[in-house]
Amino acid sequence: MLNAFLSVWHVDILVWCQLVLIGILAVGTLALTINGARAHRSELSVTFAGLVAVVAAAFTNNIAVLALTFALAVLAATCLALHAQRAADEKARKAILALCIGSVGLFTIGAALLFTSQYIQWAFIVVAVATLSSFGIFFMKTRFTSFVGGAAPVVFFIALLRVKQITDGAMADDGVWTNNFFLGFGALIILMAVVKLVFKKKRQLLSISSVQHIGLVAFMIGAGPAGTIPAIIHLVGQAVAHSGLWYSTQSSAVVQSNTTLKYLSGALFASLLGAPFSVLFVSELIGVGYALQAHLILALLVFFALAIINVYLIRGVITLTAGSEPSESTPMTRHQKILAGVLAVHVAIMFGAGTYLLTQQGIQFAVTAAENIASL
Amino acid sequence: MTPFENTLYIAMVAPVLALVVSAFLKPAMSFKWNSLLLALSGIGGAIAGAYGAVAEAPFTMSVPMFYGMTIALDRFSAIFFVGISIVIAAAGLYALVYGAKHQNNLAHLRHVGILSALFVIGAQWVFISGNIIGFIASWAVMMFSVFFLVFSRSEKSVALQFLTISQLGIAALTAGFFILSSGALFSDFGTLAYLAGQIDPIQLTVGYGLLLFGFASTIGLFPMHRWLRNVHATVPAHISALFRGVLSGVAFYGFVRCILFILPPLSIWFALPVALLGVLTIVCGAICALNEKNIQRIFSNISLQSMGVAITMVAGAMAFQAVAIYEAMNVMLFAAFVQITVSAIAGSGLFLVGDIVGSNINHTGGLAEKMPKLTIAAFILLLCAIGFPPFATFTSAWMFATTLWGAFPDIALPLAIISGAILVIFDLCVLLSIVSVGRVIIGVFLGSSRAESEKVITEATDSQLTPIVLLAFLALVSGFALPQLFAAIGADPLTSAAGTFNGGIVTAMGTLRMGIIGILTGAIALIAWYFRASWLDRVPTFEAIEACREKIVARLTVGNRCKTLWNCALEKLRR
Repeated sequence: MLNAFLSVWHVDILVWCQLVLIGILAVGTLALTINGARAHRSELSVTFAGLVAVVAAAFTNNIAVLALTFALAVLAATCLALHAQRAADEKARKAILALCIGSVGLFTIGAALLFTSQYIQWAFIVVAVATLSSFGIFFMKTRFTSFVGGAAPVVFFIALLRVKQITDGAMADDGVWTNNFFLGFGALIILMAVVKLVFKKKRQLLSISSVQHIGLVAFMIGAGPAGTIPAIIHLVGQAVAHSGLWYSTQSSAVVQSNTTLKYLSGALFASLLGAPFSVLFVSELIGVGYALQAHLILALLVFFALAIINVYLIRGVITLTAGSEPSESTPMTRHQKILAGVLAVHVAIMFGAGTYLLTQQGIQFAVTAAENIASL
Repeated sequence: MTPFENTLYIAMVAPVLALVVSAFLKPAMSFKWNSLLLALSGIGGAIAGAYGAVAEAPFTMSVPMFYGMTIALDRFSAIFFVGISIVIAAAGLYALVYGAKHQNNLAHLRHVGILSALFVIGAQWVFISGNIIGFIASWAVMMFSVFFLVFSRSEKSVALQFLTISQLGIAALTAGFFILSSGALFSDFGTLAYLAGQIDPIQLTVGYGLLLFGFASTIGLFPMHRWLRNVHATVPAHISALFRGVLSGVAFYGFVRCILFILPPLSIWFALPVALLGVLTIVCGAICALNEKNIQRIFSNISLQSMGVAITMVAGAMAFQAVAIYEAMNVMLFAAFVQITVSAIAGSGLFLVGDIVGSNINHTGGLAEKMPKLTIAAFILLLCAIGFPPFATFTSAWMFATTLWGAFPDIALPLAIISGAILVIFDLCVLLSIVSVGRVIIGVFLGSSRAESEKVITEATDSQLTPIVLLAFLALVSGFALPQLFAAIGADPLTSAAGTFNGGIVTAMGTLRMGIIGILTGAIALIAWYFRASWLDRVPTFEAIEACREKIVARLTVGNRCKTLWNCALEKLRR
């Protein structure tokens, strides 16, 4: 019994990376929740359930357990989203529910299909669609978006990469088919982000940015086997940066009133834009460079689309660091101090890890972590 | 360690210390230390660059960052390093004035201190980076710090305009390098040069186009020049000087480095877009300078014109390389180096002058009486910026024009026609820039005081004057010492009797003797000064100059009409 239980779990560098990320986001969210506006007990319980699901999904070595954890995490995120949307219209709530039921259902079907070799392509498509559509729920604005929108997409995207490995093995085509799927999908998402920002003038900037970064990760993976290395780096890096910025935007008035908080938010924002020495700088440089070699024209288009997206994101989020300079001498409140601590950790991770990744040892570590994708 | 290494370490460590000081010390003291450390970095860099320019072997060192990158300061980069370091030193000294002015806004001073230190670090590392990743990372550090510097003080629209250009520029440079290196991300520039020689012509063209766009957008060449003058008109003067001298210098260095050391020999068609960009920039700078009333914008447009001249010289060098006239290519390249370095020094000094004299040319006048020292320094810088004898910018323009003229018999007819057209446009634009500078000299310094000029009636303080006088002195010396400088960096064939009074620069039209030019210019200045009573009263008034300017602008209405038509077409397209 014990052996059967243990056989569904595995531990490697990549799992540890995910656990560290989950831990950092959970501690930060908890610290700010305790000291900020009080959360409802039911919200905390649901978030805890989501935390357990996400940790289990990171550890699992079994498709059935993965499907179970996915369902639990999506349900938890849906509950949080519905709670946050209490005042919203019935239509929006129904849409959230439909998205939840659809993604869980599709994931379950896809997981079942993975055991049949003749439908392996369909299985992969169904699992990929389910996973990626669930991100719509994870990124919804709730009190815990910084945790749910940060950790869950990383864990389930890595799970999707493991499913890709199974599909590649079954199809025996060196991953050409799945890579093309990711390439097209990634380019499509980035294009959609450009359309939303430039033409439709959408204002949910961090959500659009999150989706766009997921698109970029998919694009990097689609570029070829070596693209997995920058993709993993980017996946983790964007989660850290976005979570930090969600903390900031949730307390934008608090951030505006203090110079240190403004600087920390500005630094996080710069890292999200791929400022040098940040994690995303390394991943974008390696990933897009690799994609340029593999698909020149498409990669060039994506590259310039990213530049446009960055400009529009700054136009929108500029209010976070704009405004009159607050006085340096004003003492910080307890909440501001905790927020500053949490943001400082995120900034340190973004730039510390980014600097480490610019060394031989750092990139070797990333290569080892990416190689662990194959082990399921 | 050799003195070369010692001074280079000082130059590299000082801005890091400035960054630390700004980030962690109390802002009341930290900004002063930050400025002094930046000035020290500039002085150290200028000395190290001077050592490097004459050293037999380049400075090299391996660093653990950027996948074992080797940093290097060779003779080529050292020449540029001297120029940007001088500007950094002057800007650092002038920052003390800015700090004293804004003592009450400590948060802003901290912001400016951190970002200007980061900017200097980024710029220095661009010069010494030995591989692609190091170069792009340093470039991005520089551009991000510029954005946040602009953002902190300017209108947000100006910052966003710069951001758009810089993001597209970084994207283009990164893509260009990757295409040229066939995706070999970790390769150093030596390997990159080899790989660039192996790729097919289409990829080479795309890579070259991307690099050209990336560098041209940062230099601020036409049609991507708007951000430059908007930024110059709004940021603090010492930052403006840094941007003029360092940012443009680094971008220019990057472009020339790619042309000379990375890209394989290119056909003459690759030189044409560069020449076109250069000529359009010259024309744009000359016309816009005439149309401006904001003094910083006038200086910015004069700088733009200088950049256009330098880029046109590089285009000339590329064309001569393509048709295998290597002697002319060398002359063009050295002319471009001189143009970019000396005009950077003069341009930076002018931005500092602009900070003291006020912003609107209509509201400032008669400063020569009230500010004689500043007036002399400003005269020198203005004349240097537009290439008047005996300044080095004149020599470089002379080298350019005579080489182009001398090459007519050796080149094909279409090229000769293009070269002739470039020469004519170049000369016309020099005339326009003389009018612009005359307008500033007469409007701001000579003539009578006008409304609001009473506000700036005292001579500038010593701390304001020191960096300006330093830059003016260097601008003046560079003209006379050019043969010696050329001889020191190994360009002996371009010089004649360097180190003697009879020394000069050899061009296709003979030798331009600096001593004689100096004596002639000095004599004319002395005679003019001696007989000043007879001509000073007859100096046209500012109003007369304005009437003359309006006439010239009216003659250029063809351009304005084209602009109106273009705007109408754009408007229709938008609808």
